Amino acid sequence: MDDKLEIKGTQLDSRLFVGTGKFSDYHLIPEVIRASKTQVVTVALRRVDFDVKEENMLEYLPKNVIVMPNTSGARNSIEAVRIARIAREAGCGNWIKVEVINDQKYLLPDNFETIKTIEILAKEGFVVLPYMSPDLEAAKRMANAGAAAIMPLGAPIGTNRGIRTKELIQILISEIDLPIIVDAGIGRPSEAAEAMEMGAAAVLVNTAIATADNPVLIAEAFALAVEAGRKAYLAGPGATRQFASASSPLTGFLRNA
Amino acid sequence: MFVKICGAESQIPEASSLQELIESRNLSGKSIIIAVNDNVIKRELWENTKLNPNDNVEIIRMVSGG
Repeated sequence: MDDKLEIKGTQLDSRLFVGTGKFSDYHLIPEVIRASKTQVVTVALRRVDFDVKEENMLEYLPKNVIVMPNTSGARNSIEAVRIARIAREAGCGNWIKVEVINDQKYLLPDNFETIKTIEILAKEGFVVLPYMSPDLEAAKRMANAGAAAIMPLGAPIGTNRGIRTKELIQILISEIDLPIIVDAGIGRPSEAAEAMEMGAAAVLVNTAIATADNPVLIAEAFALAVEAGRKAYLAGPGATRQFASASSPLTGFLRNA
Repeated sequence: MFVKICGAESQIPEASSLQELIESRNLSGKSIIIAVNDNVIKRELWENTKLNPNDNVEIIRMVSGG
């Protein structure tokens, strides 16, 4: 069954995107990528700390994955655009996860600055995947501005609390004609499956994998969960009912009258 | 001359090249990205790119992130 995810002309087999943050050891990253079967990973850009000898994380990324820098650190669209342009000029390709955050408590994204960022970057040929707080009007404006997908949060970054914004995400899935990729908050494979069963196009998972006791094993579980959730969605699950409906025939019982 | 390096005012020799700058900071060029006044300078040009007073130099690398 051909059920590829298409994002601005790129066809993907895997609907699980993986973030590379928070791993206790960079050596886990290629193993996690392999186990998750992901084809898209996120990275960040930071100033070099002259006092710290740091490993080059890029060496741990296989050649065949799409490396998508995020604009983390940006507090407004000017900073986000700057990061994106530097990332692209540095050879990171033209995919960019727009992440504009001013709130240090919940790390909730600034939808307004995100819209402004998309307007600029989409015109410059970036494939823009904005991280956003699920809101239909904001998503419509992001779509009109040229976003390639919409990435609403399920719960605040790093909380592993699952899909707390379920109904708002459901509205986006119903009303926005772009891939909806649930990004942030997914804490367990079952929650990834839940997102996919709702009709999400993909999920992005970072903390839940990186902070598990066994990141490689849970990455494998996430891959299976995303596949299961997607198949469940495509299979058209049966309706829910309030009252019971017997599963065995209601005639021919082996009983006395 | 004064230039800004990663947001901090720094005093460096006149007509320093980018190559000289990173060597003076004990950096390996392998994994870093350098932008001068928001323009990324390709690695092969570092030797011949001379800095000017008040240039804004960002020395950046890709790191893990979600």
